[in-house]
Amino acid sequence: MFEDIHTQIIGPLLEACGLEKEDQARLSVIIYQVIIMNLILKILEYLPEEKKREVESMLAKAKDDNEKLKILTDALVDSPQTKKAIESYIQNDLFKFLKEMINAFLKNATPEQEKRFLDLLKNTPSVSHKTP
Amino acid sequence: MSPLPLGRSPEIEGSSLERQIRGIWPRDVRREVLDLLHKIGENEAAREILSTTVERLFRAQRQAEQLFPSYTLPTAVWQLGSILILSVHLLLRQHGIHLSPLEELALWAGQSGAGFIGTYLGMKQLYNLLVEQRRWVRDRWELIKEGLTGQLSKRIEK
Repeated sequence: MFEDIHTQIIGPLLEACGLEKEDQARLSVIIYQVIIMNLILKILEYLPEEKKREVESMLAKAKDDNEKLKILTDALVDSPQTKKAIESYIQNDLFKFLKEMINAFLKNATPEQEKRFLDLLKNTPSVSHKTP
Repeated sequence: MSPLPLGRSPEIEGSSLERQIRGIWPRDVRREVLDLLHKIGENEAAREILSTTVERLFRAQRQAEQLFPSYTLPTAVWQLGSILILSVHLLLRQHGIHLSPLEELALWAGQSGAGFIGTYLGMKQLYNLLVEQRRWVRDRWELIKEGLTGQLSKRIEK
């Protein structure tokens, strides 16, 4: 999934900006971290209140950071709501964020950057699979 | 062309990019963002993309602080993200995008040995759930791309 997002959306957007490859990669990392952070937060949000309190109490008693991370990871993976939270994140929040970035680009792009973006969009092969 | 009717509202009132960057932690991440901002310089389009990203990061960190107030959740979430991003790392490298070395990401995660592996496996499970959404993402993007290409073509023709 991230491969698609990169080759289809974020890659062309950053390349159209004309940044050096290294800076494109660095900005990509921050963007993906934001996506992943928000995804994790969405899953935590979907936890039932009782489970949140249980996690909070376990975190308070944990001996070290490793144990805390394990508690959080288990809470993320084990929740029956996780799949629902991921669907909600991808189908709503993720695309909102991607559109924000596209708009941010369009609002400030030079004509050359816009043209470059259009060329990249046109030259990106379609990946849509509409067959069942 | 006016921006696509899809996006965000203007900047959070009273905030500035610099103020939001100062609110970012861990410190390594803050330093990375500042360095990148400096390198981007006057490239307004790239700067605005970074600004949008920082704003989202800032908001996510505030949200994380509220979820589990007794724990430094923003850092923990960042650590988990770093582990999950390992799953993305190799895919991106196939496209010529070289992220930080794995060792560096592992350091970000602040993990080692069995603790790290356990967390990594948990994050891999999440990644597999994300992959299930792949087709939806592809179809949605195709629709957006079609509209975007049309709008940009018209604007450039003028």
